Amino acid sequence: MAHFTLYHNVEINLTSPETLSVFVTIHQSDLENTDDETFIRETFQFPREVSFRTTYDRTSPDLPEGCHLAILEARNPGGELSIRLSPQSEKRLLLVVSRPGAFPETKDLPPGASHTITLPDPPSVKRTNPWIGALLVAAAIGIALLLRRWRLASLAS
Amino acid sequence: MKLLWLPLCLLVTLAEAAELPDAIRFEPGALNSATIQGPDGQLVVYGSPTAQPDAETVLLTHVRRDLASFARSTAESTEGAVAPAASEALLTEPEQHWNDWWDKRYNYYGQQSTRLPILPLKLKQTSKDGDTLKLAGLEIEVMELPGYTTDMLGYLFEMDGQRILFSGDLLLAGGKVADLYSFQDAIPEAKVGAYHGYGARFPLWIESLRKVAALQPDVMVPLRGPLITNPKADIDAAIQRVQAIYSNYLSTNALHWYFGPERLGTCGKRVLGEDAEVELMPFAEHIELPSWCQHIRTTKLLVSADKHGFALDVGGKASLDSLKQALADGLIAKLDGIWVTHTHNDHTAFVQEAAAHFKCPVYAVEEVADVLEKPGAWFLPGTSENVVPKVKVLKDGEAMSWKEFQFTAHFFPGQMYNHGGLLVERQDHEPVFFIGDSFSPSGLDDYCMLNRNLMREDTGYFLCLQKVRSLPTGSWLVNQHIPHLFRFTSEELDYLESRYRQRQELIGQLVAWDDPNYGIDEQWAWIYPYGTELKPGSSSKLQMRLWNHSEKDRTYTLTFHAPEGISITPAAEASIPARGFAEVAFRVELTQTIPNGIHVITASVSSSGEGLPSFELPHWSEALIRVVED
Repeated sequence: MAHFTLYHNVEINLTSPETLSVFVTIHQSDLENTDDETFIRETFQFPREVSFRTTYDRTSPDLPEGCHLAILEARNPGGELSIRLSPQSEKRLLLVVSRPGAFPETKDLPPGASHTITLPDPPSVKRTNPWIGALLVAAAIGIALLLRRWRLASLAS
Repeated sequence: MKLLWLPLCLLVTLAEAAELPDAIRFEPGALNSATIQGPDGQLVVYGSPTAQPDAETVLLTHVRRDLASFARSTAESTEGAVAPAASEALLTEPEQHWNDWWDKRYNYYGQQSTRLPILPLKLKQTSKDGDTLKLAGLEIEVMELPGYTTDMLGYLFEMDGQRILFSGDLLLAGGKVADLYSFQDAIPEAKVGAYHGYGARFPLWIESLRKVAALQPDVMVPLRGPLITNPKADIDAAIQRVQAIYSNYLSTNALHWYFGPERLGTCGKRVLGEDAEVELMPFAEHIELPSWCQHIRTTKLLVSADKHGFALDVGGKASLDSLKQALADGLIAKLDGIWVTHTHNDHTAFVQEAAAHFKCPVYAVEEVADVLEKPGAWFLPGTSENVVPKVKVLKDGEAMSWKEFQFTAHFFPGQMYNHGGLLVERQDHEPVFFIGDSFSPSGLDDYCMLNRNLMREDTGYFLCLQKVRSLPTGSWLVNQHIPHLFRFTSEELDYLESRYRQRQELIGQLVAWDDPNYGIDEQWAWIYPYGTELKPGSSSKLQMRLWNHSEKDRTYTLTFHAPEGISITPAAEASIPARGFAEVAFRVELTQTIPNGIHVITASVSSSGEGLPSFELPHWSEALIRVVED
């Protein structure tokens, strides 16, 4: 669709709390002098500490004409996430943030602007308390020693 | 009286003929004809009303339906025509194009002319830039002259010490051109597609005109209208006019908002020159959307206090999925209706699926509703083939209450003619006018001429500006693509209107018609329905829809042309008052033996009016008839 070339279109999907998913719709006219990876890197800036793995959807029948989708996924780090549109961008950015149980939130960013969103808390990870770990190790060693003593005692009798 | 390019210029024939060597017989007409006597035979350029069996060949400068038809009798009575290599397939296998066109016409954003040949033309050879043709004992230099079309060639003859250039539709006498919509195309260097490429081929055209000027021809023989006896003066005038038009266009352009000044600057420098200053309107005041209006891609969703929804446009699956999700999440309890702003597929393609899913009515103004209900009957940019079978038509000015909202429907022919606007009022907010895609904070969405942006006081952007000025004080505008409210000051509205009025005048100077609207409106005469499915032996009533853009009454005479197997009312006539509109009915009947497939009918249009120039347009409009089995 011709109108799909008016803006860059990025959706940050937060419907799954474990995963931070960013869908970048790329129109073929965006790639005249570059490739997908370079285009994404040079147009949209995310915090360096977020490490995305990227896959592409080029075949879905739901894609707008002349477009394909880059899917950037990372483990949800929690806290905040900012996205900046390069000052050299050749068009504005429509940024959609999708959250469960809410209307999609749409932001219109001119080149050079950034927007920060609050990420949902990641699912509680059972983090190992170092004291608990030490106690567990000590308990295991204790049990092993007891078992050994019991075995030696059995053999002696 | 203005001198048009199309009239039978009988009064000027003798005077013009005097400008040409004796060996060239020039016959002015709806399409000009020239017969050239060479040392070894005769050549025909363009064509002839009657066969010229003594000629060696007929030269075509470009490939359009009227020219191919005009050349046919001579091509068939000789070894065939000489035509641009770039358009060979369109001449030898036109049926392939039309067979594909039945489907391709939907969702179409290519914006190229459909005035293409229907029947194959016998070809002797093709020609291209740099060729030297040796025909009838004459040497003819061939040069490409793209711009008005992509395939235009010029044929340069030297005779009796004169340089004569047959230049097709490149330029018309007086520094004019037949229309502006033929220049619509992509601008790759600015990453602008054909749909947004207003005047995209102006730079090519200017380059071609300068190339011709450098050749210093004594006379140019165009396909239409009088000879060009002072090529340099006409070329200079044409370039100056088109640059003024383009500069004006950029200064009020909605794309500035989306693409920024650099890309618009790239567009401008192509036409105006590297050092040109490109004037752009600064952005109007804009703010965030109110909480009761959700932006979901090209859908706007109004949400009432009791969580009912009312959607404006549903153009994509993602929009529909979001609406379904909103219902599933309890964000809306029900969708009560869908208003369709205009007929582009990014606003309409999923309207029917949404209406069926939510069991809600679809509303639109009449000009939009008919396209939704019968998309195959229309040929407009980006028309979805998805039918919306039942649309509730709201008249211009008709009010409707919904929850705590008051709606007023408007016919709003801005971005395209088939366009509406919805004024939304509620107690706790300034009025918001949902104007579809008709303005952005930087101006007018008039980048695609095939959308029919008529430059008349009673319609088009003049009417839209008048409606915007008439809104309650403090009203906001909202575009379906933009998640902001925006509004123009009265000074900004004055600027937009005065610049647009200037452009109307500039276009009037460039196009060879008595009113500029004929030169920007490809569909002032068109056949409705554009596409019809019929069975062998059946018949159907069609209409010629005619807009008299002239400021005086005109009489239009229609002559219909049909292929074998279709009979058609031979001719019809209509008198239409100044600025009026008429539907002229005619009937097509199919024989029992007509083969299945796509058949193309055409209509020639001629017109005259008191105090107005006459014109004659062979095979001007076409319609498709698809014959299907019982």
